[in-house]
Amino acid sequence: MKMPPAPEWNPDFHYPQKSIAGRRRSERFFRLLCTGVSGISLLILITLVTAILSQGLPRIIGSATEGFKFDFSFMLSMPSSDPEKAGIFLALCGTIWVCVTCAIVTMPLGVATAIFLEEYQPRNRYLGMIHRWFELLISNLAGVPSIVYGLVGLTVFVYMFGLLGTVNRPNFEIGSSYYHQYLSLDRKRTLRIPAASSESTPPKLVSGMNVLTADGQTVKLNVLESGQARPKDPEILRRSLKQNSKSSVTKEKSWYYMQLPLGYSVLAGSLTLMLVVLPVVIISSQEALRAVPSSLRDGGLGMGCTPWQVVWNITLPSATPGIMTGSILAMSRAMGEAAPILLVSSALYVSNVPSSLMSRYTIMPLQIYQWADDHNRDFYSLAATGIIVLLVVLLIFNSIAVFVRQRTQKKIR
Amino acid sequence: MKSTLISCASFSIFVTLSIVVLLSKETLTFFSKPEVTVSDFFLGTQWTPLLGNEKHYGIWPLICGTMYVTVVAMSLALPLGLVTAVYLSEYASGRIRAFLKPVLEILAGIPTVVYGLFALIFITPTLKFAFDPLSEMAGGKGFEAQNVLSAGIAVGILCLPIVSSLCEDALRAVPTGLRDGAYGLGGTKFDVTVRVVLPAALSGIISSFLLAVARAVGETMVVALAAGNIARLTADPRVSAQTMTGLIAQMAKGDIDHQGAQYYSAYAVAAVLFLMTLSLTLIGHWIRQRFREAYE
Repeated sequence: MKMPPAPEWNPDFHYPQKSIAGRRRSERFFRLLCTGVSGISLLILITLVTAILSQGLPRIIGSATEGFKFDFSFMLSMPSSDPEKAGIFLALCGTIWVCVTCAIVTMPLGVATAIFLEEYQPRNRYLGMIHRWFELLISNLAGVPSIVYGLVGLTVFVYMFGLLGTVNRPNFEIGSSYYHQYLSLDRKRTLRIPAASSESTPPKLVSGMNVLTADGQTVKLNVLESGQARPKDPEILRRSLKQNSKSSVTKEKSWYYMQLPLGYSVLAGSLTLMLVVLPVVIISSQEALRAVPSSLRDGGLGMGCTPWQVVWNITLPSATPGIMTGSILAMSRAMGEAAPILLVSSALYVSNVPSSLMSRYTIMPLQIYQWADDHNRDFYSLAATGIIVLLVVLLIFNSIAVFVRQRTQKKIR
Repeated sequence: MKSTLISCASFSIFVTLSIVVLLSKETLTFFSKPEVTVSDFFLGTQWTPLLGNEKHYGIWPLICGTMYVTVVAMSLALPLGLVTAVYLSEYASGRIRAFLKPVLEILAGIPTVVYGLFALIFITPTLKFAFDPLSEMAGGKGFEAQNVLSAGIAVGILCLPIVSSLCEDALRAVPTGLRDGAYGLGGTKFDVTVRVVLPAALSGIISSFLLAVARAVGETMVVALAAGNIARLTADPRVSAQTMTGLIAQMAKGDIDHQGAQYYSAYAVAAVLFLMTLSLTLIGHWIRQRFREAYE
């Protein structure tokens, strides 16, 4: 080996020297600075948690002045304009609906994409270029602000580019039935006649025709001509209508109701959240797959497995803990996202717990945002209480992630 | 099976590409509106979509609001985060690190709406308490209920755990051999950290900084709650100012004509936002690739 030439010796050059004491001093100063700044950072974060807790906890556990008592009404009551009575139940149900649907859609898609990208590396040069390009695109999409995805979801899922009618007058529906609805003469129940669509004209009312009640029974209609006296019998009164009664068209939705465009529905919200977390799921699954030693794969291939057999029997089981952890963390991110849902949910007009994928909904972070944005300052502490519930849910979720990781790791190793 | 995988992957590709296509299409629709001109959008200094005859769609007030919040946030999060990371990786004992690192990671996962509420219930009242008497003595007004400074501070606190966690990862990735060599040459801990470890981890640190900037630029819920809804060019930290994300969020709250220029303006702003964050992450990617020191 050839040695590099020695640098020329310059007798006038001296390395800049600091006294030992000076260096010790700067060392002490730096240590103090680091510790102090970390202390400040920690203090800021502690202040954050304390401020939220002190505002929000009294609703749940009472306060020192009024005595401690556990009160779970917050978790079980609906939104209300009265801060004392309002609760987060609706938003809690909405969060569960949206996140479960989002997980069902996103996880298979993300994991399959990661397997394809990681395990089927292209051999062709041009395909390789596309492959690298796509990986770069995904890693960049993970950094795009989530509200941009909200706008995309608004156009693609909620309105569907306006090609299929409007949100309230969809061109395509399954599982809906329309009724002409009348109020019976005693004003105690509704009577319905099936209708073809929301625009159909009401039929001529005839005595003896079959009509439906709200709970699904069929009764014979009794029609009063103009000038005819009201029947005395309450049973007949309950199924009587005047000849010129006004009707309105109502829509009954069955549990499998489906419409296009999706509108402000749970499904549209879940698909929008899918856009947000799909890159995260793909990247974390890719990392989990990459961490599987290639000797395992080579061993499988050497035994004569097809590439798919290697993936299904060797790579995927060993990568499952990593994939699960990454996916659960991505889902907990989805649970805390409010910005995209702000655009694709009509949260102000929600009053019922979602009953199908097409129901309108609101989610916890959005509900918290609306309380915090309220002009009435009394809602601030309500928002803080909502945050505590949200954080507890997230904490439970993350503990599940840790638990799952430890259990699956034990099984494999 | 492979075909299933291919269809899943191509669906993901389709989804990601359609985002780009959709944003550009709706932005073009915006520019084709009669009351909108491209030069007004990119050079104008007024964002007044509601004034009847004087409608202006100039993006600069929004960009400046975003920049203001980002600069405040970064001047808080970057120094504090980096020094905290140095403490965690170089000074803290194993037990302290084992406690602090998971705490930071949990804090990094807190939903951002929490920081928005924190700005409203704690930061703004504190700022009012501390500075309002001073500014009233000087004859000025106090802090508004929604103001740029408190939003910036809240975003900074939001970015703090992210910066310190990512920087700590970068510092820990520097091999112990380098540190030992520097100690062997007689360096103090200060010398080793500042002259050896920090330069070696520089690419990771800078890319984590860029990630934090991208987070701050794209942050929505905090600015929607704490920064206000008035788009204006201002240098005063006490008044409210709207950011780009704040505008899009505000659009969701109001009833806006779905064919009008105001509706499509949100897409144009989103496209600009998309390009800004995309270039930030691309630069970060490039820095990581170009300046990565591989010690194997």
